[in-house]
Amino acid sequence: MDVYESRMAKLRQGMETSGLDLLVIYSNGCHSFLASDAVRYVTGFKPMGPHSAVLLPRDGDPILILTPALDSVRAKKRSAVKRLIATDDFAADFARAVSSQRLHPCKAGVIGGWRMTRGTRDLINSQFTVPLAAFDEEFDNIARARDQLELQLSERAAEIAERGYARLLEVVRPGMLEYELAGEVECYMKSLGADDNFQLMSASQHNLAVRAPSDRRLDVGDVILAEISPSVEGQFVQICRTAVIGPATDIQREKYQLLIDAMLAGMRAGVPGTTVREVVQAMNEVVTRAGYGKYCFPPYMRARGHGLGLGSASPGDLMLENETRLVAGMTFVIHPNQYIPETGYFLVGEPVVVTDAGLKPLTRRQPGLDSILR
Amino acid sequence: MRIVRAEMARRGLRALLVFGHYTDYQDLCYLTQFFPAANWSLAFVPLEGDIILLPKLKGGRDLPAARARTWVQDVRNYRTLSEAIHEMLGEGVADGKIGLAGIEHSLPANLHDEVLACLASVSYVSVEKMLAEIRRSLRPREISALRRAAHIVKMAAGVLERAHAEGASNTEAVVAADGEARRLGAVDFRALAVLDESGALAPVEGLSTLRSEPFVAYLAANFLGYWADLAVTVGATAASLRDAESALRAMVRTAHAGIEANELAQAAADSLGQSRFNEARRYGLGNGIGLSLHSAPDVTLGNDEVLADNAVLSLRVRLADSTLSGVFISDLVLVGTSSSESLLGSA
Repeated sequence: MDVYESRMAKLRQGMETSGLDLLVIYSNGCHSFLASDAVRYVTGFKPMGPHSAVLLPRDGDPILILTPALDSVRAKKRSAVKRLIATDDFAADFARAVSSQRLHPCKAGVIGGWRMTRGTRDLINSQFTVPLAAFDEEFDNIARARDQLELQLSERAAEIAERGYARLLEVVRPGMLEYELAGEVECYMKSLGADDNFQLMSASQHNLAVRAPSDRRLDVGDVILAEISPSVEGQFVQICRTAVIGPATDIQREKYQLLIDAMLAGMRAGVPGTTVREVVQAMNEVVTRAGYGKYCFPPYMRARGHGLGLGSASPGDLMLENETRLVAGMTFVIHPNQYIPETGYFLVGEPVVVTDAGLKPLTRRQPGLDSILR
Repeated sequence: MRIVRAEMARRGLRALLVFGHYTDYQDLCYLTQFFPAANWSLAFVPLEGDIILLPKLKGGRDLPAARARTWVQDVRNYRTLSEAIHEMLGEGVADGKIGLAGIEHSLPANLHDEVLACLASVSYVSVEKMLAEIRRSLRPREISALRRAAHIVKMAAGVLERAHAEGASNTEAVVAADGEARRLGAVDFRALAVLDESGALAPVEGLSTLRSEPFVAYLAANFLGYWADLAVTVGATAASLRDAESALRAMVRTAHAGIEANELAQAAADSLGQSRFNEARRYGLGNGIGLSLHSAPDVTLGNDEVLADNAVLSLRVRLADSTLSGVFISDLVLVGTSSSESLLGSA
């Protein structure tokens, strides 16, 4: 059984448990590193058009309806779902495809309903006698432990991310524009096989936060913040790095080590069964003990990490309110990025996988503050 | 703002609530310069007084960066949408009609429901058509941003051509173009190219060694929220390009303010003949471009939308030939009162 058949088999088991006859898996063509991408997850096909949907009956072959019609060639090549309807009239073809299932009555569920506009939701619901039951939580649970393919892609993406950052360290120089540097890193990672990237990269003598690259010129003494999130076949990872142009000061090294220690505490705490809240508490305790408890909350930080698309986005944002329990095989990024008054904002973060021994990084290099001495 | 507020006054609107989503931010960016990189943002535009911009919910950390991207002074953080709307509406707009934009086509349904629930006791109308009409003619600042986006995409195309000429695979050439666009300041870059033996235009989805000649790519770059695009055919013969160039020139020559979009399509049809025209229109002949990669008007037969002065159009022709890629060329034109100007310098 190939990986896509296996994924659909697990969904069908979930459908059986929930009493569903049919699952509608919807995509609006947006691919976010923070969210699940269920159409791509079950088909291997990256939708480009504004509407795509997989109809997965509990018994019978799935159908992929995709837009635009011109994309049929790529879909035939890439999709594990072989019954394809490539169309420029999603509404009409979706209706026909549902009708062709001849399921009456039909209890149906939906994954990706959160992506729909009101108009799309009304259109899809109108094909059924009762509104579709949301199945996103079930999907997240089914897909929360990465399968072999996801882990392989995550490892490849992590390698690309690290090489991208190494490239940053090689090419950065005072006088460069922020977006010149960001473009160099992005281009390099795509030359290594990344098919997408989310990137924040900015610098200042004292950062308040990280942001998208601008036309600011880099200078000696700048602290460069880089949040690098490449994907390989849709599977994202993220690394968070900080580098100083010139020698890092003792205070910078001391405070950066504090955040590394916080991350390591979180990684030790992150065993199966632990809640996200407990992992966050372990990290915050290290920072609080050092006197920076106030800075463990917005606006001085956002979250201590988060899930990563392609499949499940579990465990979600790493925040104190999150009671999600970690399971072995989950992957996410752990990042105690935050503002420290003496040094400004720092980024430190690794993509990790949950193991019985704690959170194991997918990256190879030891975390550390880099100095660019040229 | 003067123009928008004059129209608001004429329609009896006390304020606007304008949403922008990262997939569709035209009205929001037009009014505030700001556009969200992820999720959605909201601007409250009263008939008089200061605009309020909510860049994202719970986005306290990101406020300093957001403030640098907008002329709006009052940039705020809210914990929930409901809190935002109630506080905004409470700022002097207790009665009267408000205008709503940006919720129909891109805002997720649950947010749409939440917005309407917040407005349950408020009289509101959609102002999407009102704002779209105001935006039809680009203002000087907008044209300037588009010129920069056009420059970026043209430079990126140059890098693609050079890389390909130096032996790069199709994918390598596209990646090189992507990098060049971002090094020149593009906040986003999209590319479709012929990357495998099917000859179909596709995004880069991994490494590929395919190298074809000719080689066709479609590139788009975003600068400050404004899109420019360019279709490139590398290595085609003059003969194979002739029909496409002739049709494209015919559309460009025809384009000026006051004529209908279907006249451009007809010009292409007259140039190509029926059979080749049917082939070309399968890919589309063009559309408006600017704050969206694809905005009105569509260049199609039967579309009687009138071209506005200082609108920008992306015009294109894709035709098959005996090669894998076929040919695909385009131009980006600024519509003038009696003619049009190529923003790519190829008129």
